[in-house]
Amino acid sequence: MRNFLYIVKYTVVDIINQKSFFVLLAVSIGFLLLLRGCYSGNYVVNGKSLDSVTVAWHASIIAFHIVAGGVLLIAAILSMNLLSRDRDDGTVQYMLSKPLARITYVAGRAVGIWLVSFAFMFVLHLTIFVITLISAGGAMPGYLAASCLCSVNVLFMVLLVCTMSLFMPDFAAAMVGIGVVAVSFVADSLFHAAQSRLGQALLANHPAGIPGWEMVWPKVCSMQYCAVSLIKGDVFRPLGSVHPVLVMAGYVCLAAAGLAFAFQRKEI
Amino acid sequence: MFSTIFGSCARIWVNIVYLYLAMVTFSSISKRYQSGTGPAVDNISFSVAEGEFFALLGPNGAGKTTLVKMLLDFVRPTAGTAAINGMASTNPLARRGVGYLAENARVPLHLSGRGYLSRQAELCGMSGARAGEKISEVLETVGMAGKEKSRMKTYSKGMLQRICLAAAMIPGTSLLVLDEPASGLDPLGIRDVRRIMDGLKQKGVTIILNSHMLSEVEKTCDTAAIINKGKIVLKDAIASIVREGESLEDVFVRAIEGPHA
Repeated sequence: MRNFLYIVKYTVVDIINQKSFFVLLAVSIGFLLLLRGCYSGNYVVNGKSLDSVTVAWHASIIAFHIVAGGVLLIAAILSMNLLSRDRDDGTVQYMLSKPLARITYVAGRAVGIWLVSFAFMFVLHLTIFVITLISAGGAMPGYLAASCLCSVNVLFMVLLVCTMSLFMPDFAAAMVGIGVVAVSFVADSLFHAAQSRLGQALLANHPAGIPGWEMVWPKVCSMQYCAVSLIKGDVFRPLGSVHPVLVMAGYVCLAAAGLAFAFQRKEI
Repeated sequence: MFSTIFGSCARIWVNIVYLYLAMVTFSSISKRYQSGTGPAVDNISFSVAEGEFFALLGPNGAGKTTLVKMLLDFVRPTAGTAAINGMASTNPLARRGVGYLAENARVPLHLSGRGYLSRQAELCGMSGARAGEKISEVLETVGMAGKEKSRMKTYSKGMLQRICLAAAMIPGTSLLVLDEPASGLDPLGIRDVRRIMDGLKQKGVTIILNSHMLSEVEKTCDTAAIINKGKIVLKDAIASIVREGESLEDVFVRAIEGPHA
């Protein structure tokens, strides 16, 4: 356990020692601060003017989705060359020549990347939360809890890309991870659009069933909708009969088992 | 008949005692890479006794590094087993007290020398003052004291080799596996490495040295095994394989190319 924590620490320290990490974080926060401009505008929809709290509410939820999706991209980029870089700079050899199980090493590396990515996402969501609180005067209970829920998606992305990087070039591994998430966004968004009143009206004469593959595909986007339901206080309607939290927990376990199994057999 | 039975029993006992004393044991170990044409290591069995200074010699691609990697569980054998102190090499605890110097001194260049050694010490269960003392001791031994605070990307090849040697000595070492320790070093550096290895030998550390520098091996090692095409072609005490008037290089060439070379 102690060695696992050491490896997590080394992973986190190595990433946050890179200036580019803080530059990216600062630029992201800077963009989020531009949101403040949205709250002071006068918006009119269907002849009714919207109050700033309503605007802030919708802007914050859109920003929540963008941040949660963007961090998945960052997690993929951080994970893609994690194991190959360790192989190239001899880190894996120096670590595994110590009394350290392979699973401890790879789990420590993956958890380290996940922690950094999650912290990055949480800071950005916290920024939105604070901006909304200050600019619109309305706290959004559940916003930070929703951010924590989305960390399951980040963990899935890290484990998936790390596993794939053992079988294919780094860039291809990142593309596979991003591709899985992109398909989930399209499929789940179409489902949730179909659940809306407009969608129901359009599909009234053409009731569409849910394809089988959509039922078993990683529910990354549904997870975000589920997280947003925490903010809105809505009842979440999942795609299919299994809740996306359970689906994603299953996929995280599957990806973790795949990574452990593949790395155990990997020649160093 | 009695003498045959007595002889067999004696041999069995000698083998048992030798295995008990052995620090490293390879038993019928083989490795065939999927991409390779033939076996990298082909049914090799031998032991290295505690405190022995053992050299693995052979031409490039003979299987020396594969053998070392199987010992450290970096590569899984196709058949057979490797053990350290009687413990299967697949068990991480077998690597307790084992120091390893990899070929070509690859290190994470963004770390300082001390930072790198601190990580090594932490992973070996050392921390605080004990780790600090150990790091200072090994830095002194390899002649890197005072240079450890710079980032390793500013180090020369020789300095990197020395810091890697220091890292290999961190575990407090009962077994040291050195893959080309003199690679990249100037003649003074090679002399220093020889002195360090002599010092470790005096302390009773078991050393497995994988090297092409036959003159150094001849000066320092007790036993040598010459490997060619994955098989051991010669293994014995250096004093008994090098005859009067010849060098280890002559023995090596004869073992690899045959008696008519």
